[in-house]
Amino acid sequence: MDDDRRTQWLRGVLDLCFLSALTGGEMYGYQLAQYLDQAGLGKVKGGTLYPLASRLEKSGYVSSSWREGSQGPGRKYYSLTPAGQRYLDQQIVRWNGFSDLIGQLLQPKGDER
Amino acid sequence: MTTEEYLGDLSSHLHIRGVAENRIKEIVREVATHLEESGEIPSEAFGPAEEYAEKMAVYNECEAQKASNETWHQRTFRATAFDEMAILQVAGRDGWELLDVGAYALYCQRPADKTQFKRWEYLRRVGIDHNGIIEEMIADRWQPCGHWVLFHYFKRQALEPST
Repeated sequence: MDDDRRTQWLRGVLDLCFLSALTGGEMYGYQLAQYLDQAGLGKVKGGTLYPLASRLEKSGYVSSSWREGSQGPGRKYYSLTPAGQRYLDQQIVRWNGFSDLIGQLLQPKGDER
Repeated sequence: MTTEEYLGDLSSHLHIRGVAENRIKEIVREVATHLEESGEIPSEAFGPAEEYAEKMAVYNECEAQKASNETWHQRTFRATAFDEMAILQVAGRDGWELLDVGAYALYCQRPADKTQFKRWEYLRRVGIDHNGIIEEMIADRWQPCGHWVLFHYFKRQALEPST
């Protein structure tokens, strides 16, 4: 049940976390998954991560390029576009407003009664 | 299922859904790299190959704005005379309406709005009497939706609602 709720919350903000991760520079898919995991979001599955990357790319918020590794397979690196940066900035403001509102709503009301 | 089998499956499901070959290569390669680096099991990390193909195919579709201001998605399924009815059966269940057929191609559309999906049934008739076949089928509530050499395709809305 707790996991379900967490998954639902995450669904609404995972794209913003994805974009935010790229503000520090380009990343490839598995690197992003590890970054989000280490940040405490838990394991984001490939079946969620890459379709999201495709959606953000189609929207023009990220761009991608393939780079051959010196060893091992080539990797597809994602980077934030200027449009993605603008979108992220707008959405951060909206998220902060929403999160403050919920924070206030969830305050114990005991003192006022 | 081995990783190689999974990637092969994924590739053919993307192919059927009309995803461009260079894009298929990229999608499969990205999955392969991820699996190689993470050591994860394909179906656990990405879900069933068909579902993953469907998720990715969506970003490969064209959007068309109709006069009514509804947005439609268009997809060209790749098919042959050996597998097209099986492909149509699944596509029709998922709301895809066949508009026309070509060599190895099924041109389909469905509304962008999922709640507006309709469920479609398809039938193929084979023969040289084009007009005769069409007359018979129309009498039986089927609507012609394209033909290719001797193959004639018909559609009708299924009675049970789409899920």
